Amino acid sequence: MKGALQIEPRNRHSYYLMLRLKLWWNAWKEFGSKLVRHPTALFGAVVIMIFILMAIFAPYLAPYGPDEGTLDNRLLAPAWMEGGTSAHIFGGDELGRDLLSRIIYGIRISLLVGFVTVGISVTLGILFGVIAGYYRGWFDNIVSRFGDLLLAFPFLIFAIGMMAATGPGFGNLVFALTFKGWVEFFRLVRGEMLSEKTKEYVEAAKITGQRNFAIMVSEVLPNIIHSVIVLATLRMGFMIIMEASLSYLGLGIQDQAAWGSMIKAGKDYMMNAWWISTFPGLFLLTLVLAINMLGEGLRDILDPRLRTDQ
Amino acid sequence: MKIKKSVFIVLVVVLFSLLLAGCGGGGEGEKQSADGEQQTDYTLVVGMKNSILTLDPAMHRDRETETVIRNMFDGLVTRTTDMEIVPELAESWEATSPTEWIFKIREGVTFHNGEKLDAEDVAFTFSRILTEEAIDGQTSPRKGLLGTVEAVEKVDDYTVKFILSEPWPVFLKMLPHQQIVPKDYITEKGDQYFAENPVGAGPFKFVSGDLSGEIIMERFEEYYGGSPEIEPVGPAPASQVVFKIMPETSSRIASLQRGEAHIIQEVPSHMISQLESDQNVQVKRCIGTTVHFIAMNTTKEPFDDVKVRKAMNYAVDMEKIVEAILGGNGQALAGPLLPEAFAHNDQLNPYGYDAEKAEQLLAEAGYEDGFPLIIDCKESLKEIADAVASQLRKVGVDASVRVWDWGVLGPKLLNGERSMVVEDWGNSTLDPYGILNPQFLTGGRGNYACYSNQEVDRLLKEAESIVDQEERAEKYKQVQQIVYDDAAWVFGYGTDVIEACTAGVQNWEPSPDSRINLHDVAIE
Repeated sequence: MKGALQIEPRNRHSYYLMLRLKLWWNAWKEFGSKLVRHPTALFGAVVIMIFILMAIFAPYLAPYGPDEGTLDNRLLAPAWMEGGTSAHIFGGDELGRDLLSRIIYGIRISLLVGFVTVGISVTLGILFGVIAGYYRGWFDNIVSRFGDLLLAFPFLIFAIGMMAATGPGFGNLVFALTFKGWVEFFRLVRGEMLSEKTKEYVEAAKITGQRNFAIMVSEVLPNIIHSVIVLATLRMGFMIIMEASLSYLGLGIQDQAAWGSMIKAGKDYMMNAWWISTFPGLFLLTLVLAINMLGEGLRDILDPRLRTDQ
Repeated sequence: MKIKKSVFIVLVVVLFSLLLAGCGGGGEGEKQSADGEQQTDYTLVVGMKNSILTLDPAMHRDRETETVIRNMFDGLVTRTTDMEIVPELAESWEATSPTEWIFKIREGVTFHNGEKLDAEDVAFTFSRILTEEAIDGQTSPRKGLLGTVEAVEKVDDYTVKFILSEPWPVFLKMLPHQQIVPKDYITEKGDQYFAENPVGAGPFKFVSGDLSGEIIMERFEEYYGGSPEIEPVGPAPASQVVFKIMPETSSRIASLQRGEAHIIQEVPSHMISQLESDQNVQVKRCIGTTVHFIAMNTTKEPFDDVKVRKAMNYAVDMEKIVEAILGGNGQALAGPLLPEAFAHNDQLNPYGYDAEKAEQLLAEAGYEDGFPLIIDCKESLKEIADAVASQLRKVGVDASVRVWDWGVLGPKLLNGERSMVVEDWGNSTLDPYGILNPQFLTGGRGNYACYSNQEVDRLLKEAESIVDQEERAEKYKQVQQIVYDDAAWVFGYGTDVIEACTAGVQNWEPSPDSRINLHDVAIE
């Protein structure tokens, strides 16, 4: 009995690692079983997975290149309509390019914009939020006031202004969206940090002599990361919509097949070639809907407290 | 029960007939004859694509703005839809020398506010444009349209004299672009007030307006009748006209089909067949006066090499663009002028599409592997630019398109900061002066190719003041030849003006300069 509980000092490290992995595994298992029992979240997750796979394998899935086409196929009808051909299932766009191929390549832009902008926003938000919330003081003051300043602008108007100043393009778009996008994460993390800081486990960690950095990263962060994940998922749908809106306005991504610009290009043809706008629009709708379903599902699963906020 | 049922039936019948009456009464309104006169009482609605800039005839350089203003203001002369110059407020004119023109002004014309129109007003109108900073400290953007005109002097109450510093052969052709304004009204109320409450001598007077919404005018009952050469003469048949700004193509077309608009501008070619099959709509077209082209920056690599510029001309299939995107409603051009233009050089043939030749020329110039290229354009030409980019990619040029706000792009182009632009240039006189000079003179105000050729400069300068038309034409033909050989542009195409009206609209034809004059338009 004695031998079973006692751990050899040299094995202690690997034991804790095993224990930690076990806990992780259990957490994931629990998360998985909750997800499966949450139909909308599951649906969202499955749809997003399909979109991600389509984006990765776009060159194999798309029958043509995104810019390939001949003016002969201009405004070609979808396959099931009169005049359509099975070679171009969704028909041709205003320059005779294959609409389906362009939509499939368009997934890449939307997802990439979503992941990159939210990724950067989360990173900045956590970094600033944790520090500001833990130490308070002048750093908190400066960053918080700057964040308030940014929040005073409506998001789309702000992004339009940024894009107009810097010009269209992927890099500029990411810059414009993250410039303001981190503030929400910052405020969330800072707020959580402020309330966690006073809790007993933090006090305990301090008493045991843990360093500030270790307390922030290994004690507090795991307790607030759930809320961040939920917010990140919800914001991703928003960022994708933002990119599409900017591209629709001609300020986003011009030189690649982006859904927003495709919807815009088809706008003038709505009366006799409705498919040019409609299909990219439906894909955009599906993707954003799926992301929001997953986001709300994650909120229910990971962070039921947030529910009352809505 | 029985009684109730019959009441119900009566009610239904009454309601139904009310509904029918409601349908019949809507829309255009009916003719009303007052005192046996052929007076009519209806509103004409015109759907415009772009918002306008001002209501002061001297403060813009914009066709849409002029279209609206033309209905409230008359000029000394006007232009028929066949591009002929006919008298309007002027009764007659003669050139007493190549630099002196005498205009006799029609007597008994009044402005909308009752002010009499005489030589004072005409002289005032032109001095307002010619004098620097004469309009609230700003110089009229229309000054350039007066060429070498130096002064306009009153001779007697109904005679004015135009004094030109040099002979200017297109003087008369350019004159329809200037409208006469009331002197006393403007001096009393100021330019700002005038722009907000315009008063002219045209067929309609201003009621209210919002430059980006709708501009409402009503018939001017004391109208002198307009040009005697354009029938019918007299006050306008329509009692009210509304110019409504509808930027969305689909909403313009939908409101035409519903009968809410009677005339619409800029029908896209892909909608023509659908509109033509609608019995309530007539689609009308005429030749346009706008040239579309692709200017290449001749001062910057790679387009400083004439071989590369020629390669671009071979690589772009203009015929295909005209056929597919414009639905054949236009024509590919061999040079910078439309075939209908004065002094068009018939000897030139379009470069034509030849991808092999393009690749060969690129290789000769040392661009076997192509080069990266951003094609600039304004929003309305994005589709053309996209098509050009995809054609250029086929010969190995890594082309993409960037859409700009014109206010930002224009100066960059003139400074030689960009490489290639898809643009258009309106030249409503169809005289080469209005397009060759701005486009190919060194430092010209539309010289987006940054083109500079001493021979061209010399020929254009000489042609400006030659009165003999044949000699002038000869100079312009030479210029076209040089520009063609230099391949300063990828020579583009001309489009037809395509506009549409409801079936009941009478006496209206689109005009090559795309102005819509509603004076004579009636609804049946």
